[in-house]
Amino acid sequence: MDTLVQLENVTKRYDSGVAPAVDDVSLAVEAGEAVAVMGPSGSGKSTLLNLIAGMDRPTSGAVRVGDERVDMLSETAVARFRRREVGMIFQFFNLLDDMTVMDNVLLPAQLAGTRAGAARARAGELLTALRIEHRRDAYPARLSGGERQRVAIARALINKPAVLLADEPTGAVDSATGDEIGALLLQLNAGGQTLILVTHNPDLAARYAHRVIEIADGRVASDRVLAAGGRLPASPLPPDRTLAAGSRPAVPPDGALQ
Amino acid sequence: MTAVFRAARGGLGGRRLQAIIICLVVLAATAASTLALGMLADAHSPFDRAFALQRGADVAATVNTSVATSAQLAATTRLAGVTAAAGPFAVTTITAQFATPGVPGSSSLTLQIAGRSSPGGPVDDLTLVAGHWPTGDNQIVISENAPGNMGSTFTVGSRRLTVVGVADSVTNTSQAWVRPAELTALAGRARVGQAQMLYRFADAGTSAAIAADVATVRAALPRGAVQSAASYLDVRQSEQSSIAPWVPFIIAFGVLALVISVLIVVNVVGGAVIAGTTRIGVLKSIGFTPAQVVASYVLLVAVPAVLGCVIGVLCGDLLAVPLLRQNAQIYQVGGLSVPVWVDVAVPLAVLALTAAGATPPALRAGRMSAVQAIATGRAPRPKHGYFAHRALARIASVPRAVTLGLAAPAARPARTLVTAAAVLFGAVAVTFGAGLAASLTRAYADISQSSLSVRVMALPPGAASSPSAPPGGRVTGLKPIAIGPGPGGPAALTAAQQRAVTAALGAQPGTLHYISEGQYELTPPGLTNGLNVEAYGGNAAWSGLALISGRWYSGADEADVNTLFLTDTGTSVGSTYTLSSGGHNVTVRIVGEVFKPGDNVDMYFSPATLAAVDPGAGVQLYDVSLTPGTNPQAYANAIYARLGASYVTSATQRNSGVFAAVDTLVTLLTLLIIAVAGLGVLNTVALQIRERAHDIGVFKSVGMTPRQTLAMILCSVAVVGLVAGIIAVPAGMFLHDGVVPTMAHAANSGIPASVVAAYFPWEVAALALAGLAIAIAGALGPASWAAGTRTAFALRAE
Repeated sequence: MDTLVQLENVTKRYDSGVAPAVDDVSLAVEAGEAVAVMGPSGSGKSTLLNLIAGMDRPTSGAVRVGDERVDMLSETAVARFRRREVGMIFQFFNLLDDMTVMDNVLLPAQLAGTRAGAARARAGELLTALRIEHRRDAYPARLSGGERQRVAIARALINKPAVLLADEPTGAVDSATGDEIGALLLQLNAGGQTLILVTHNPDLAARYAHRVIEIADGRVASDRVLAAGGRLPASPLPPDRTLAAGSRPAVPPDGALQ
Repeated sequence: MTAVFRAARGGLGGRRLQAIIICLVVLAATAASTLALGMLADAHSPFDRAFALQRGADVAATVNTSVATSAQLAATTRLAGVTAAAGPFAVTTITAQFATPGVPGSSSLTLQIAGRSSPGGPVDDLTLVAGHWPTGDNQIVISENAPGNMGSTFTVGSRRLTVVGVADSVTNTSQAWVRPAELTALAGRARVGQAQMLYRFADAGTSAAIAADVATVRAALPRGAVQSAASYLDVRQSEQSSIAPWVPFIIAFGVLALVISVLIVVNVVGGAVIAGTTRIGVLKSIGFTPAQVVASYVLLVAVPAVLGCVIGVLCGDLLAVPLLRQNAQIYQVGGLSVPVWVDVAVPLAVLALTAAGATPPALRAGRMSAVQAIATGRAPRPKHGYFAHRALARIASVPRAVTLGLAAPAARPARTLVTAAAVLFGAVAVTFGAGLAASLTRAYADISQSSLSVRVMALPPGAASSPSAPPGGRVTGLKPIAIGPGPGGPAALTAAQQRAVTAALGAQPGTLHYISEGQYELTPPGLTNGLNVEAYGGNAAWSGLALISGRWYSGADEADVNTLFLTDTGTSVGSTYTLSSGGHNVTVRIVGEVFKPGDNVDMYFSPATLAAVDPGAGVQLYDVSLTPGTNPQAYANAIYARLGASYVTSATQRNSGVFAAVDTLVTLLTLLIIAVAGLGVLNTVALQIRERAHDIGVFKSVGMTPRQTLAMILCSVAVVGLVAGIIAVPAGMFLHDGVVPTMAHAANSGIPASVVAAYFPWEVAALALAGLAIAIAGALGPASWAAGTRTAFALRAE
């Protein structure tokens, strides 16, 4: 498999004199992988995701996604890279309140200059596959948490990104909805979508990722490939930071999302 | 109260940009108002102030020194009612060869000179504008109204006087000054027989008082000693009437500046309340009463507003300096300044208006429920504009960033309206200012007869290049109007002289066309200030004067008049009027109204009509228009070389002082108002970015480029600017078309359509874009900042 995302000695420091948010991290993610980045609050996992998406720049080190040195791109080039290669899913959805479901989903395609007809067709497919087609004209305020996150996923997928980055995608929904979202992500990954998932929930990590990278104090504490059946291997971290094991559900058979 | 102060200070710290904007807006509005009102206050009384500053002469009496002795003249200074006196200063009128450095050749002119040992004194304290007072022989100081400049020379016989200084007398007591010894030397054998006595009187407020004062002086001197006495009231009258026209436009600009600043303050405080919702909730939850919340928000505005007011007054005073200096030159005073009451009243008024603007949104903050404010957790989302977003998102042919921007104003309709109003008033000022400047330029060209560049006159026989008695002085019939130096006007040219002049003008390269002129004064019953009649030989339209209505005269029984004539005589175009002089009665039909503002009652007709009124009156001078590129002074010198020493030729002197000062004022006020309106847009965009920081972060996270971000934000104000700009053009033109005739009316005149029609079609199109330009310029700063912000920073911003 090809390496899709590669970080080399990446450090991100917000303020001098304060410990870096990300400290000399090197890692590689292969195309088609589902990787969970785990760690306690403030460990630097969201910063890591922002660096991969080009939403922030490292203080030092190199960030590669595909053939692009993301950290070297201009603001314009990184925006173009993001709309082409990256789909972002946020904990609090980050939908635009004054736009309908359809307009939220269409936005990245419109910014990328995709033909209106093609964009609408793609958005329609995604909304159907995510079972929210009937809410296409609703405003986000009228949707449940699960529905909002599905809209966010549709928006993240509209430009067929190489990598889907999800920052605590189930953090703001109840557990049943969280399972639903997780299943969706698994389904996407099963179709070949590279997925990097940031979570502090070991159960989610164990159930929906093939590989778990643990971050502590900005550094990679462990990087483990899950055993078959989703069993998380023993953590090298002290007991209070050890992540509980979980089991992976079966991959849904539906491949419509690719 | 300490808590309120602390809360206000805390709020201020968190809203540095808003505080700076309030400060700048209030600063600009205060500066504009101070400037406008300062000029206005100054316009009311510049002559009186200048007159007091320079201890101007209430009466300048010309006395015959061969009739009155020095002792008798000195005794008049101690008469009852005389508070100060200066003189006797010997005076004479010279005819000199005039040469200017850098201009080939020379010409001849007459100049009234007084002998004074110093510019200062108890009366008529002269202001030296340039150079120095004569320190030796062959040096002369000229008045700013006299021809020539530093280095020019006047040759009288064997003496050559060089201009070493330029000075001004508030009542124009003389055209030039030399040391007393120089004057005696200039006079030579002719002996100076005249002197000037300058008096200030205890009671000089009215013409009657002045007449009584002059009678007292006359009575104290031998009969015939006082040849003439010039009252300051005549100068005052003409100076003050030239100021009235400027009042309407200064008021218009001042009101525009104040309205815009109030609108912006409303937006700034409204925005601060919206953005500070959580803070209001917290303040209330810890025990702030609604009144304290209101007070803390009013204080939030008060601190930068007071600062802006103070700096604004200083800026207004500083900006007024060059303008007042121009005025000081016009009124020939050393220094004028903005009155203190303006410096106090303007900031107080601006602060009161600012407080009035800040109070309604602050009251809204006071009424807000604490629980709701805290629970919201962030600025309440606008509930408007959804439809606009939805509708615009359907327009596939327009880039999405643009439609996103276009939908933004709908989110906060009230703020959009207030911003649009600010831009509208700014753009109105642009249209109004541009039109006003154009109208003033045209009016000045018309009034000053700018096309006439060179004047040719003849000297009385035997007057060539030697000290002379004043020319003119006909005793019967029409009285020639003083043209140039000295009392009385020039005598009519003989037929031979006229032939010589027209031959010289015809032969000289550079002549475009010329007219002959005869200017006389008549005192018909009913016109207390007299009637000036001007006879133009040739094409009257070449006089450069503009017609308000009707046409130029075409026969001996037709005449044109200025507006004041129609007003004072109750006539109108088409009426007839009978001129009587020396037993001759001539009835003319008024066929046109001439644009000639001011206090003079004027009538224009042909030389044939003039001859019918008074067979002794005739052509006194020729005014010449030159082909483009011809140097007037060089042309005047060349004509002089052709005609010889018995003629006077001069390049026409024009003092555009008042027009230039007003032009500068119009430009400054327009720029200030544009700046205020631009700051209003900047504030709106800054508020919008602040409130939508998170959305902008989301846009960026889904791939919006910096350029698209910039386009989105600029488009959010572009429509507002464009619409406001388009509305502003007719509004500005309406204001212009109302103010300009009012200004002319204040100058006792109607106005030609050519002066009011100040806008070319292409200008109208360009002016329509003024609102857009103001909006884009105001938005560019914050929009660029937002475009350049990192996505992660923007997402964290809330």
